[in-house]
Amino acid sequence: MSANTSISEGGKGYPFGPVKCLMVEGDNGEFCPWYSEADRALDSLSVTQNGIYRASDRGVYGWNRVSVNVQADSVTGRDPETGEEKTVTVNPQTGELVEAVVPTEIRVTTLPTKTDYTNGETIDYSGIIVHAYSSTGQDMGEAPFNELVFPVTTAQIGDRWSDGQGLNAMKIEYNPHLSIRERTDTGEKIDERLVYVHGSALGTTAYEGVRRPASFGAPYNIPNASGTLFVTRYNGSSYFSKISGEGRVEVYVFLDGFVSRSSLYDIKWTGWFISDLTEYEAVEGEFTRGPYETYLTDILESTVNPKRVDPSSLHAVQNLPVRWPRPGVGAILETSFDINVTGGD
Amino acid sequence: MAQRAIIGINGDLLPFDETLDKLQTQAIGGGSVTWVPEADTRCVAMTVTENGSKIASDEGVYGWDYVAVNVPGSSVTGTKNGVEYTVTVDENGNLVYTRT
Repeated sequence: MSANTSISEGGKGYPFGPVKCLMVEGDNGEFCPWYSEADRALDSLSVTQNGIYRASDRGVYGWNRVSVNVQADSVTGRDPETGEEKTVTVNPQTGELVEAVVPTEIRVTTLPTKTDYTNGETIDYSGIIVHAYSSTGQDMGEAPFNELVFPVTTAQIGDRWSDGQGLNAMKIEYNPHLSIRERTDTGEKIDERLVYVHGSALGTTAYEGVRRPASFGAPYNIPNASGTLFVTRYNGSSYFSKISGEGRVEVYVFLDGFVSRSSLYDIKWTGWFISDLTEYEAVEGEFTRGPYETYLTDILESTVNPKRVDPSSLHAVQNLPVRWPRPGVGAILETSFDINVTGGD
Repeated sequence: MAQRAIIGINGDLLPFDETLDKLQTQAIGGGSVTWVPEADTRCVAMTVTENGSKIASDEGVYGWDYVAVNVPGSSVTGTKNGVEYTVTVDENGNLVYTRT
């Protein structure tokens, strides 16, 4: 609403004509719009249904009082006579109240066809059958497979392992040293006086500028060759982890201060170990080609000393949740089942 | 927000020395118009999740221009054996039928 207005000063009138708002200068020099109080009048709002209520849609500036009384489409509670949880709705045609027992629990009645996995394998839930039950234990039939939700998709060994003796696990970090040395079974021998090695392990720490005097059979140490890995700890006394790495090294052989030859080698090494706090056994690796072999020579930033074990002897039980959003109620029912996971290769 | 105001007419400033909550002018054709600062009359949005009443002044605002209501239902009303009931859930989770 605009107002035909005027301001009087000393009996003299100053007509504005239709004015929607006055720009009024405060004594701080800033202008502030002033509106007709009639345009800023408020109304009250009464709501009986959920939704969005914009004042402008009702032709008012705003609401100074809002009253909300929303009736439900249904209510869910326990029948005091039977103890069953029920949902009560209203038949829209007849207006009659309709009671229906609702499921409060789901259980896996048939496990999936596949329950044995190796670490990292995709989980196949086919074959699983889940039934719904009322609060009194009544079987309410099968929950449709396409309504079930399976949050976990990959078999994972996690932090809790068993080596068959019921030992639990936790993670610690360590950095190994990798060493290389000439193999004795290739027929190639490096007998020059100095060998310079550099390269990088894929996705891990680079090792460059490693320089050691050449002496047949002596190792060339490569610190932190595999970066940081995780070791799993058993009951505070034993450790387990898979360690592996691959990379490429270039070997320069010096003779009397000059490069006599250079060669590029791919290396790949892997190992599984379990250890206790006192024993140590190196995990051997391999060159994929070339006259070198690799092995672990040291562990940094850890007191752990590894000892090799067969990964297939290690296993874990993984608990997988299964969820069913309960239709019409908004609640989500959940159950779970176990699969067996082995350490793999 | 009351303020001390100045209105300019024909190049002259008419200062209002007093702090003003409202400003009244004459309406052409008779009567008067009351003006209020926009800053004092700004409306805000509100979300309601429970049944009940709310008064803007109690909440420290001038008014609401946008109200979103999302109240989980707490009762249904219908007939059972020809009698109208309102069904609610008590604090123990039990269904309660009340004749209406």
